[in-house]
Amino acid sequence: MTLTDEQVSTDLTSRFRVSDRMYPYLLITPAMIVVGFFALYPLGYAVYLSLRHADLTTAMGIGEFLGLENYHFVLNDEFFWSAVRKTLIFSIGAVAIELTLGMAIALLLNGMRFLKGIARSLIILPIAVSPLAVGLIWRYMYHADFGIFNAIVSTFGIPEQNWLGDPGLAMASIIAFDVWQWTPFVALIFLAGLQSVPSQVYEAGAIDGASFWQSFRYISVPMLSRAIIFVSLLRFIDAVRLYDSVFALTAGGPGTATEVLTFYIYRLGLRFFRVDLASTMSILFLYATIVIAGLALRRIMIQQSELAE
Amino acid sequence: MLKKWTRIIAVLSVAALLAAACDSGDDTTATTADNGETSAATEAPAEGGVTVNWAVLAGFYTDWAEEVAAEWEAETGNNLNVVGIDFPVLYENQVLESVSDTGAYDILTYDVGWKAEFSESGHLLALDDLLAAAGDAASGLNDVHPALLETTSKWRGQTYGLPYYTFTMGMFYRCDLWEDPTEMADFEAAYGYPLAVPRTYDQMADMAEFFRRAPGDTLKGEAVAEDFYGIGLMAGRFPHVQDEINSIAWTNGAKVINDDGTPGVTDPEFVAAVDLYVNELLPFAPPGAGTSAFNEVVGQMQSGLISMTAGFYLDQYPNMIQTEQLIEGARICAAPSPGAHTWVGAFGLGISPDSENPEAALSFLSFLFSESAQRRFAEGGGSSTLTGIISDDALVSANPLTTGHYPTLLEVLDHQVASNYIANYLFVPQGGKIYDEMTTWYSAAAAGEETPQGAMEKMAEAIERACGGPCEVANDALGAGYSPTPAPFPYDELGY
Repeated sequence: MTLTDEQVSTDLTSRFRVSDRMYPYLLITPAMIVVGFFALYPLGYAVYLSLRHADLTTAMGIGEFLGLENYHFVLNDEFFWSAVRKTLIFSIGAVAIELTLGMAIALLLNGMRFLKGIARSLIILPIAVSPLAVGLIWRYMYHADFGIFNAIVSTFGIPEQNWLGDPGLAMASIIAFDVWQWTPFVALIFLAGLQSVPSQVYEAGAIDGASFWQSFRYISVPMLSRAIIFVSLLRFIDAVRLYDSVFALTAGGPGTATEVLTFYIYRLGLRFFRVDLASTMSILFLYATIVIAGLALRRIMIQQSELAE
Repeated sequence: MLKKWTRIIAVLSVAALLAAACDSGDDTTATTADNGETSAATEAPAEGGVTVNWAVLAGFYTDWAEEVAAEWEAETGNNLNVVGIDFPVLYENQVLESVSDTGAYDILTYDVGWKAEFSESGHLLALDDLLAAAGDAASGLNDVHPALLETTSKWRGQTYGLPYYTFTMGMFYRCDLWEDPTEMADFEAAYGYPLAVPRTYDQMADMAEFFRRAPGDTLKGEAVAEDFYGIGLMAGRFPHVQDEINSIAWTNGAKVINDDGTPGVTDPEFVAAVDLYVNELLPFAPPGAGTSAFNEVVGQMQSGLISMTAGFYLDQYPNMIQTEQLIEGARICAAPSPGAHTWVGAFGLGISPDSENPEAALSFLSFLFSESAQRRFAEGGGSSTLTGIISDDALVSANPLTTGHYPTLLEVLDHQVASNYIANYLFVPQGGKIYDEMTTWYSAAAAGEETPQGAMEKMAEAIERACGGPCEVANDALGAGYSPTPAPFPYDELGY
């Protein structure tokens, strides 16, 4: 018996038929395989390493099972807590300034009548460059002897500063670099939020005699609350992962003044090859990030589930 | 119908993506990765030939290495893949490949401070049998200066690598200032002894103080418009500050690691060395010293900002000498750094135990250490490790802009051999880690984040942590002739 083309096609279609229930799972499976391979497997391996003695520069390599001893060591390591403190100083400082400046820039851009597109394109440039590459340029701009920043401050009669060499200034200088690079991103998110607010709301406010500040306080901020939470969280998670800028600008110095947590983990893991301690710190770091993100997103999640219901 | 085709396209797209992800990517082309690694284009080796991968310090040396590689390829029919790696990631990149047994590199490049760790941890192959089998083919290796051979090659009596580029320290100074009659008279009147190459670090501190000039002061009889500083220092958190400070400490008779393996950095002589650096030299350095590495100090000299360096890498001579073109009337001279012992070091080349072609790798090393290859290296501005090259007066006369430091280099290396003092920490298996810790804590002292005493106490803790207690000092191979303290430099004999 010979099958017609139509019969073959129908037969194949029915053989490979995927039910509508399974279809989403089929589509998501490759992504989950990638996530599993590149995220879950390394995470599981990091947990495994954190429970063992593992010094890759010794013949033993990955050694005996230690239980929670590495966690005990890390939580009692003064350099770990010092690095955590510096990470929080950087993250809170940088994100707060970026949110403030980002909002100001967004309001300015939103009020522009001409050249808005060009301005939007120009401010995005700092985001487009690698922090490592541009960090090296900033290192020379900050240099106390040759740098442009000292040339600028001295023209205003302000004493020249040792931007990256003074332990009291080095972290502020890294924050300034981060603010330069990431404020445009915050501004663009806020600008998108502002542009989605119906103009009638502002017009109604104006009819009621609302000043600029009152419009901002009682219309813009509430309407942007989700964007504010979202961008704060995004920037905070990115800020606590700070590494490139520190590597390029100060290498953690002077002394340990800018040795943030990721840089300390890098030193332990890739300079000392104590992958057990580096993994332990990474697990604790991940846990803390998830908790903070969860708390920050809680309100949005509750709102979303209420809307869904 | 549309739905069916959408599904088919979706499944095919996913399959294509997976296939692309699984592609091994055998084709090798010129690339620069984010990890600071640059790989030269690799072609298939000639029939019967093999490919040797060389992890090499990126810089002008890479260009020279590629030139030499091309000649070796033509001669042997093998292929050499030069993988240039930036210094800040050179250590971790190679160790990571080694502990993962990837066999990515046949030839490794290591700093003298990493030698013990690389050898002890099995990242380097003991070369003695290979060298013996190579016979005359490797005879050029015998000309490596003995001072560098012991510090850079030997571990527990075996040879693990060969030094190909030395960054041994001396010092640079503006000899036009040192020879100016007004400055000479003023200095002698102020300090009670003649202005000459400093023989001690106290003298260096005097000279650093003397040459510090504010705008309006005179230098060589002329008013200076901007601040001029007595000394340039590499006090930033980069792997150079330790070489400056250790030179002072060794001269004081102090040690990073004592002979019994305990940290020596909290000994009074060691803390005094750090204190001298922080309180007697650093105040006369440009404000940028706190963030400076060696290249910034070169920049300070070329900008006419400083009168001298402290202990400084002599291999930077080709850059330092450019000051003479940039600053009118300036002359640059090299001299041994003050005191007794300084940083005597080199980059070594060894063969990975994971190499599938160790004989071919050794063949290339032998070629690299040949007289002709090293001569071209020297002419191009490299600091050779071969005695025959460093001591070649004709070469120096013919290439004053690239080899003018060779006489000083030879004096420092010869003194190392005569003194027979080698710092203990070069014989500690955790040398690479200790080297990294030094950067942190010396920088902390220099920046004022810690007092010299406080920084050295933390450094001592770090050393004990790295070694898991007292360190093992494996310098037995130095034999009975080993001197536990460095001998003073023979300035008079050498006419300084």
